[in-house]
Amino acid sequence: MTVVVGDRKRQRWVEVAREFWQARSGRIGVIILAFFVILAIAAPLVAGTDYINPVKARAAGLPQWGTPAEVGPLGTDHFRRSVWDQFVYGSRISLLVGLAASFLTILIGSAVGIVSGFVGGKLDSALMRITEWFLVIPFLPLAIVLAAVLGRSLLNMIFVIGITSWPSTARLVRSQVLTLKQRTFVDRSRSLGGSGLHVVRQHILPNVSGLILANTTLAVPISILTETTLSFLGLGNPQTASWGKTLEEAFVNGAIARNAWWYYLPAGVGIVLVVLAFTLIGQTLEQIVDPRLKDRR
Amino acid sequence: MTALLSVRDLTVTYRTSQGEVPAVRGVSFELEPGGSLGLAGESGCGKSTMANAILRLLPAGTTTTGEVLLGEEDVLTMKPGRLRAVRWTGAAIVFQGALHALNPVQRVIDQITEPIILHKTEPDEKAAEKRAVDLLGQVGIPANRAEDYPHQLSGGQRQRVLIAMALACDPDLLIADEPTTALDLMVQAQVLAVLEKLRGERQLSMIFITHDLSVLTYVCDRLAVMYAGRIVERGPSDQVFERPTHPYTRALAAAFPTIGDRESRMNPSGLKGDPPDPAALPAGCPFHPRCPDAIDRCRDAEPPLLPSGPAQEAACILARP
Repeated sequence: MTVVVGDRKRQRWVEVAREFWQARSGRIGVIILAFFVILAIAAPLVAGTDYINPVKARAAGLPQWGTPAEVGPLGTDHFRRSVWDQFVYGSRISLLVGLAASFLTILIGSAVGIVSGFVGGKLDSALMRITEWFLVIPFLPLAIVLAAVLGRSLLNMIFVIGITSWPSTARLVRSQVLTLKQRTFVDRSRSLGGSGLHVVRQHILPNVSGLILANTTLAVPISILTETTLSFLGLGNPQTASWGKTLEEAFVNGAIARNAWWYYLPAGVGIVLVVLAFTLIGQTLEQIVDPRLKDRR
Repeated sequence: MTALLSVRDLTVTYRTSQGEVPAVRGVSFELEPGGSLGLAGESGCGKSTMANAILRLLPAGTTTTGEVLLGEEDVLTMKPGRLRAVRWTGAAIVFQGALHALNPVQRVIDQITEPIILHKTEPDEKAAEKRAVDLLGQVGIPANRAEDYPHQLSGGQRQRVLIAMALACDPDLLIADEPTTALDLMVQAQVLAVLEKLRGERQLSMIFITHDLSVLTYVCDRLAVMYAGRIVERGPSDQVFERPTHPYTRALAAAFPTIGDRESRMNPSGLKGDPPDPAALPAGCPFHPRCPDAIDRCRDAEPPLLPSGPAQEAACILARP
């Protein structure tokens, strides 16, 4: 009888955390992500905003295209701005946009998918037509138009990414819910007196959570890359530094031709590492959350 | 004594793309508290449909008429809220196919506490968990398996988990829908023993559905044999099994060879043909095309259920006491 006493629920979380840490991919992912999160939070401690401003940078006597050996940690760009400072502050934007846009995508996508699949009937048809409508709109033109209409700000960027990337999640979740709905354990839950809401919470959600999780880990990198793309196309907020914007400016101003690797490499590597971290974390979580995958690992 | 469950003239009609298909056609029976009724019949004769109709678990678009009185109330006319309350506290179902009836990503103990927490039959979650472990013990599953997932249990254990779950809210009636069908004989015996024990201890009424007559005679006092959506024979189970009066029951009983009996082993008798398509039933007695004793009069009208022996009834014009 001793198995079931007390804080069984908390014990399970501890167990999940331990298993996560024991899996190598999960550990690496968490370490990489933790590094960037700490970097983003501790930005004022390790970098300054002064040398992101070209006027102040000029006043301080920083050279154009200064190599890391000449000036500071990562050299300077064509405006004499410190690349290190841009990189550190840019990590804030990339992480924020990546997480917030993914959250929006997953929230709308899962909600629409679950309601549509579970309720079915006319509501399902209506929701799916709306989903299809969003699905067939070409992403980039819509993003450009929205950015132009709403103005170039961080919030709009998150909104644009979220509003255009939820349909595929919705369809995926819906199809999974449709197959789950036919399973006997859903009938069983209804037969023991469960309401629709109860069935969704107790049985549908835990069974699609693996899929939603996998989708989230795909959505975060896609959102970060989309932010990069939009910034690269010049649709980002011009006042804030982001990795995508750094890449754009490096490209436009001929950093590659000048062989100014310190300008474009940090942002590029940063994006790759953050995307990698989320993928690793997602993979590990999915394996732990689904008990059927556990024995196969 | 008033009946715990009385089903009166129950009909269930499925609506399909081929039109309306009657699956249950006018079934009536009563079950007194503590009694057990076995329902036998081939696949597709309406057994499971009837079991699901008792708790109104049939898919939307199915028409059900008649009365299903559970205690004093008619399940078929209940309001949704009342219906949800009655499910599992009044009558619980042990589903067939234990693997699919359990949620694969939920621990066994959480699935057993689900009805307890839903119906608040225990004061808090801790008490519910304690009760779940008790129930597992009653069906012979050790407490250290409570934290397992369904795929870590054997087929027999999973079936017993479903039985434990069915008992979670102390229902008056247990409907066991083919609970032993996918299990091997030894495990089948274990599951049946558990059900027998619980019935004895708790004064539980039981409806037991299977195609295996020998199982039914073991667990049930009374037996009803269904064919094409109707009861064709019923009576005390030993009597029906040993002295069947309807030719269909005879064929069903003869389909099980008796171990040790050389004659029955050398001469296994099955029934030729398939059960009739419920959408296109033959005229007259629906069994007459397959019946070895059929006479011309069988084609005329469907025979009603009439006494065919002491306490026994059969729907066959040739079966008279």
